[in-house]
Amino acid sequence: MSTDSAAGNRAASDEGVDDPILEIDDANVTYNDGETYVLNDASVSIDRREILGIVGESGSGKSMFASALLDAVPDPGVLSGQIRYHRNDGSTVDVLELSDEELRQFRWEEVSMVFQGAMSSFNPTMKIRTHFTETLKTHDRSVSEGIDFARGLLENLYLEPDRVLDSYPHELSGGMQQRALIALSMVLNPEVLVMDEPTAALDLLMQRSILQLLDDLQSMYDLTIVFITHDLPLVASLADRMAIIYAFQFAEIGPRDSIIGDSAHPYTRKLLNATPNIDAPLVEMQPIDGEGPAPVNVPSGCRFHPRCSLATEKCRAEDPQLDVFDEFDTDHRAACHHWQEAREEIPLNAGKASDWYDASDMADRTTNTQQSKTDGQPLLSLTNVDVHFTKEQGLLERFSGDPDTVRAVDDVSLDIQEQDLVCLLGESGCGKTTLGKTMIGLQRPTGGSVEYRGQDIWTADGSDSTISHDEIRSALQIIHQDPGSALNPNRRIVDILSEPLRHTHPNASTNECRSRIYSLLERVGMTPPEDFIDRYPHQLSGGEQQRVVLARALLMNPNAILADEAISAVDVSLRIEIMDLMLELQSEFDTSFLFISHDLSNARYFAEHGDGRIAVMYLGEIVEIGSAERLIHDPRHPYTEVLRWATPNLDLDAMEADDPPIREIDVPDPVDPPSGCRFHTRCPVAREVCRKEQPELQEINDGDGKAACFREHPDHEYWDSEPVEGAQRRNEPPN
Amino acid sequence: MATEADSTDDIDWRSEASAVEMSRRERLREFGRRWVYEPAVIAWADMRTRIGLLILSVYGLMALVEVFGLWRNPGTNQADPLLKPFETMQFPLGTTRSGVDLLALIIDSTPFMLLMVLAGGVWATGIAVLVGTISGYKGGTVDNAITSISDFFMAIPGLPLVIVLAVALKPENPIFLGVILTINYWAGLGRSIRSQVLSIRESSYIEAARTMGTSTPRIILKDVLPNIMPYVMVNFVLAARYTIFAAVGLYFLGVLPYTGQNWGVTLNYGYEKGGLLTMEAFHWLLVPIVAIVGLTFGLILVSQGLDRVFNPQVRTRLTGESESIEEENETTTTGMM
Amino acid sequence: MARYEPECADETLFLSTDTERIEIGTIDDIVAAIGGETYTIEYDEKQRTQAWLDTDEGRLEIDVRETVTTLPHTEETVSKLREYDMETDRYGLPTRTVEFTNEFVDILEQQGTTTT
Repeated sequence: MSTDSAAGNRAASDEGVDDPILEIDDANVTYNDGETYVLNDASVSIDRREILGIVGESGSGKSMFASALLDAVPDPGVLSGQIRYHRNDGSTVDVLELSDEELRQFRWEEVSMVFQGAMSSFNPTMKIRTHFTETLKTHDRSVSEGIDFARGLLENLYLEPDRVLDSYPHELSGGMQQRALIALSMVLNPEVLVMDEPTAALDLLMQRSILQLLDDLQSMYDLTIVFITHDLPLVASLADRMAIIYAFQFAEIGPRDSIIGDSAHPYTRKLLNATPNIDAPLVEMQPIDGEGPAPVNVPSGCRFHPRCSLATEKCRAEDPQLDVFDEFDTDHRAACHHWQEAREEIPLNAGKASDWYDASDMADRTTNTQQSKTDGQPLLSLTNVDVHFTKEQGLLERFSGDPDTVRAVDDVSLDIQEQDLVCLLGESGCGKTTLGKTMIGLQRPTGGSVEYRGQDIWTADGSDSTISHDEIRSALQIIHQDPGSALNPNRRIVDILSEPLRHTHPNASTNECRSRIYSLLERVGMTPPEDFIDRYPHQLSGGEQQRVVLARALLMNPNAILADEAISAVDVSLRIEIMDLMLELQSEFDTSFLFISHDLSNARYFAEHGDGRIAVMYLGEIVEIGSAERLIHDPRHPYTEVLRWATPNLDLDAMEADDPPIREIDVPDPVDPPSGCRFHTRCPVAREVCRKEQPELQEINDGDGKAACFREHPDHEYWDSEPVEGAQRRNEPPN
Repeated sequence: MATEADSTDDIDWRSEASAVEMSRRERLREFGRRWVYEPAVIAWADMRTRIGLLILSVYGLMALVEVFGLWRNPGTNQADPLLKPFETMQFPLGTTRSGVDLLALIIDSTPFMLLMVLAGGVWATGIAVLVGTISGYKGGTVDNAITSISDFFMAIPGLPLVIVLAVALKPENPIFLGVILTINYWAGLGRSIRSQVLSIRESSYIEAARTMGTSTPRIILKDVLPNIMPYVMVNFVLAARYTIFAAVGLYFLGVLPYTGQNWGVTLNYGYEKGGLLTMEAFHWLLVPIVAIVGLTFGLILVSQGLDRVFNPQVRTRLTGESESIEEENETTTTGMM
Repeated sequence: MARYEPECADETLFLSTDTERIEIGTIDDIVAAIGGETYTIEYDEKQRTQAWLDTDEGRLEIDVRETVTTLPHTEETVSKLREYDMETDRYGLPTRTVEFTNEFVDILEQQGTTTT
C-alpha cells in the first residue's frame, strides 16, 4: 500500500472528511465464486468522532457493510477491496491484511460492534460481571480498572451498576440487556463503535432513549459511531452525516442536513416521502412502487431504475457512479444521472408546515364528525372492561399472601362506531393487544361487558340474544403482526383464501369462489392473481403475505378488523402503500378498523387519513384519546408527550432531541402497578397527590377527546401538592 | 410485483368479473397433480424412500404371490430336510428339519404379518392423533379428562397386559391381534402429540381460523394435522415396528395362539431345533430374522423420506414451481426490520 | 425483584429466597427432562467474535447439572412454577419439574443462533 495512492483516493471518495479514521475503498462482498454481489463498490471514509448514519431497507446489504468493517463477513462470502484504519498516533493498518491475532485485537479494542443478534450472544451461565471480566482478560486489560470504567458506563446508561453486574442475562429486560451490551462493547474504550440495528427489537421510547445516550457517550468518550438502521428518521436525529444504501450499493452520502433537506438521489427523496412521520402533510406521503431486488437479479444499469419515475435509457444501460455531482457541494455524493431532475420533480415533504392546527377549530370539526358517528348505536361498545390474568396458586399461597394479578386491561370503556377508526397506541406490555383482542371477542374480559350492536358478545346465543354468535364471530376479524406466522405454511394461497368463503358463501361453486378470490387478489395489488394462488406462503414476500392476510380478513365481509401492528413486519418503503390499501378498503367494505401500533407516526397516518381517533394506553388503561392532530400538537397527558418525543421526525429544525420528558426509562412491573396515577413513577410533573389518587378519563377543555390527568382540572388539589422527588414544578393551572 | 393497485378502483370487486372458470377436467388434473404426482416426485427424489419403497414392494409382492397362490404352500417333507439356502434353486431359502420350504413359510405368512403390522400402526397412531389433538387443542376439562385416562393407561405395564389379553382373548385375526398388541401404545404417543399441538395452537394462523369461526374439527384437520404429520408418520412406523417385534416376541414365547406357522413361530421352531447351536440349522433361524428386520428397515427408510413430502419448502423446490424466492442466498438476507 | 437462588438438598433442587422455598424436583429428573448432562448452544460467526465467548467452533457446552444448581431465577419464573404441583405426575415426572426445565431451556435458547 503506497501512501500516495491512499491520499489520492481520499480526494476522490470523501471531500468533507479531513481526518478519516476508517477509509473503505472499493469494498465488495461476493458469494457463489464472485457471481453474486451483496456489497458492491462501497467506497466511503469515516471521519474521526463523527456519527455516520447508514440507512437501508432489509436485504439491502447494510449489515454486510458492518461486517466488512470488522472483516467478519460470514462464510462463504468473500470480501475484497481495501479498508484502512488510521490510529490516533498516525499509523495506518489495512484491516484485510491483519493476522487472526491482530484482527482479534483490532475488533473490540479499536473498532467494536453491537450487531443484530448481539442480544443472543451472551453466555447464559455467566453473570454480566463475568462477561466484562472475560472481555478485559482476553484483551490483557486490568480487570479492576476495567470494572470501574464499566460501572461508569452503566451508570451513564441509566442502569444500577451493582445490580446489573450481579445479574445473569436472563434476569434483565430487553432494554437493559441492550444497554449492558453497549457498555460491554465500550469497555475496552474503542475508537469506533459500529451499531447494526442495535435497537430494532426495542420499543420506540427505549430506542430514542438509547440514541440519546449514544449521543452523550459519543461526546463523553470521543467516539466515532457508525449507526446502521432501516429507520431513517430515527438515525437522522443523531447523525452528522448519512449514507443511503440501495441494492448493495451506496446511493447517496452526505451531511445529514443535505440528505434530509436537499437529497439528490430519487431513492432517497422517495424514501423520505414514504416514511410516515408526524410533521409532514399527509397527502404528500407517497409509497415507492415495487420492491428492492434480491442479490441474484440486480437490475442492469442504475439499480433503482425499475422503481424510478425519472428513469431513461441511460439509466437502464449505465450504472451511475457515486460521485460529487455539484462542484459547490463537494461533501455530498450521489449515484444518479438525473440528480437535477430528481430535485425538481420529487419535492420533499418534510419541513413543509403541516396543516395549521387550531384547537377550537379542531374541536368543532371532530365534534361534528363524532356527532354524525354517534347518531346510531355503536358497533362495538366496551363498558368498564377488565382483563386480569390471575395466576393460579399453589397450596401454600392460598392461605397466605395476595394473588398475583396482571391487570392487562383495567376498567376501559370505549365506543367504536360503524366505519370508525381507532388506533391503540402504547409501549409493549401496555395491554393494547389484549384490549384489541377483547374488543373482537378473542379474549374474554374478566369484568365489564363488550357489546356488538347492543348484544353482549359473550352471551350471544343465549335465550334473549338478538344477534347470533356466528354472525358476531364472522363480523369481527383480525390481521396479525407477523404475516408469516398468520398463514398456515402447509396450505396454498387458494386454500387459505377459500376458507373465509366457506363461511360467507357456503353454497358458492368452486368457480364462483375462485373468481371472488381472483378479483380480490387483484384489488389488493397481487396481479396477475393466477401467479400467486398456487403458491405456498413461504414463496411470497412479506408485503405480499400481508396482502393475503388482508384479503382473507376482507373475504369474511367483516364489520370491524383488528390490525395488530400489521405493518411493522413490512419494509419501510412499502408501509404507506399497505396503509393506503387498508384505508381504501375500509371505505369500500364499510368496516371499522382498530389499529394497534407502538409508533405514533403510523398511528397518525391511519387516524388522520381515516378520520379516526388515537387512544394512548399505559399499563392497561387508556390515558388519553383524541384526534391525531390534537394529540400531536396539543398533548394533554404527560405520557402522550413522551410518546411524541419518542417519535423521530424529519424536520431539521426540530430534530435535535432534548432529554426525554420522563424520569424513568424502564416501565414498571405490570404485576405490581404503581398506586394512584400509574404514570406517576415516570411522570416529569408528578406531584404527591398523583401517588394516592387516580385521575379519571374525562373530556378535555378546548379540544376533542379525553385525558386522564389532574392537570386538566384547574381547581384540583394537584396544583397545591408538592412535586414528587425528581419531578419538576411546571406551569400553573390553565386559566 | 405489486403495482397498479389504483387502476382497479372502478372495478366492482364483488362482481364475478374475471374469467377464471376451471373445468371439471382441469380440476381433476389439478387434484392428481397435488395429491399423486407431487408427493411421488418428492418421495422418489430421496434415496432413503426409494430404497425403502423397493424393500416394501418386495413384501407387497410376496403378499400378492401368496394371495394368488403362485408359490407352493408349506408342507412337511416337501424336500430333503435342512437344505442350505441356494443349495438348490427349487428351494432357494433352504428347508427345515422336517423338510418344509422356508421361502414358502415366509411367503405364506406375509399377508398375515402385513395386516397385523398395519392394524397395529393405524390403531396406535390413529388413537394417539385423535386423543393428542383434541386434548391439546381443546385444553381445559377435556384435556384434563383425556390426560387422566391416558395416564391410567400409561401406568399399566404394557407387556403383561398384552400377555393377559392374548391369553384371555386368543386373537387369531391379524387385525384384532395388531390392535391387542398396541393396546396401550397410544397413551405415550398421544402425550407427545398433545404437547406439539399445544404450541401449534398458539400460532397466529390458528387464531385467524378461530376468528373466522372455523369449526374445531376442521381446524384440527386442516391447520393442526398437516403440521404434525411428519412426526405422526415417523411414529406410525415406530408403532408398526413395535407391533412386529411384540408379535414375534410373543409367538416366540408361545403366548399367542397360532394356527399356521408364521415368522415368529418359525423363529421359535428354528431356535428349539437348535438353530443357534448347530451351523446346519442356522439358516432356519436366519431367514425369519431377515424377513423381520427387512420389513422394519424398509418402513423406517420410508418414514424418514416421507418427512419431506409434508414440507412445503421441499415440495415447491422439487416440483420446480418457484424460481423467485427460493434461490435467494440465505446469508445475504440477514438484514431485518 | 426477589431473586430465587437454587439450593440442593438430598439430590433435590429447591429455589429459595429468605422467606420462601419451593421444591423443583430431583436433579436426576431435571437432567433427564432437559435431555442429557450437557446442553449445547451454537453461536453464529458474528456472535462468536465476542470476547467473552470462549467457544469451540461456536459451540458452547453447558454442564446442565452445574448450571441448574447455580443459575438463580426471577420471581416471574417462580410464580409461573407455583401454578404447578409436585404431585401430579403428568409426563412421568412431576409437572413442576417439567415446567421448570421448560423455563430453563428457554433461558438457554435465548442465546445463540435461532435454529428452527
